[in-house]
Amino acid sequence: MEEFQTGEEASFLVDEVSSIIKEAIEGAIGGNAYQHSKVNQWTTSVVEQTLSQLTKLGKPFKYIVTCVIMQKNGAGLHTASSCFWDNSSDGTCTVRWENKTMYCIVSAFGLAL
Amino acid sequence: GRWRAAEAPPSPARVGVGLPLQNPSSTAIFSLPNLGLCPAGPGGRFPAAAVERILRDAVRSALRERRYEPGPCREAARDIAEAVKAQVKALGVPRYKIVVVAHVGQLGGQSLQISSRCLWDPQSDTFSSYVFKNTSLFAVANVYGVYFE
Repeated sequence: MEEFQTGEEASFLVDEVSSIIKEAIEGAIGGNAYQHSKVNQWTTSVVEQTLSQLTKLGKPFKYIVTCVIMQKNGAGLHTASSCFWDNSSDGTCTVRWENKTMYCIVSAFGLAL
Repeated sequence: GRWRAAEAPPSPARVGVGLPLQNPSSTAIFSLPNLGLCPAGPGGRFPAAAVERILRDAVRSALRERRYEPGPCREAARDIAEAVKAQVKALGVPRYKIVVVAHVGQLGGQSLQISSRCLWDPQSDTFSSYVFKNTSLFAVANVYGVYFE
């Protein structure tokens, strides 16, 4: 069994996770206009791609990934999170993305085992 | 040993909340597809019913009778997240980490989808969700309870 070192390998690296999320969003909806019939498939794709790339990091973490895709029509949306966790190892990363027709907000939470 | 969650294929819990709001003057339809609830831990360690009550009470007390306004609703999302975390933590369930996410939005005829998925151990980890709406706004609040050794 691999031994996980304390330090970098065992902590949640925001930049690393942020890149993963951005790629997942671009891959799923980059270049697309909002379509209600597709949005379910898109959120699923963003979340699954993010989770699968996080898994490949091979770190001793459990993950929660949330994705919101919202049509742009002037309506407002606010999101807040609050966590009870271990500050030294756990972390979160939120990426906000938009194009002309929609917003996409993805949050990933990593909780060390 | 401990890192089974990554070696095994992910066992995801998916919550999809679709709000197909086509026209503000017609009836807004909430579709809440199968939540695929994770079982609570062995012996039901995470008190799902108590958590659901906390969620419901926090959202309702923050938003019932409220109209959507950007500043107050941003505050409300934060207040809900903090209050739920504090109260779930106060339940004192040992060895559980807690993540609370709260969304508060304007009912403006837009359509949106909120989905989440988790890589965890479905034997011990679980979540609760609550959806609220009035004539002016909607809210979705989720609590995730994650066991750690």
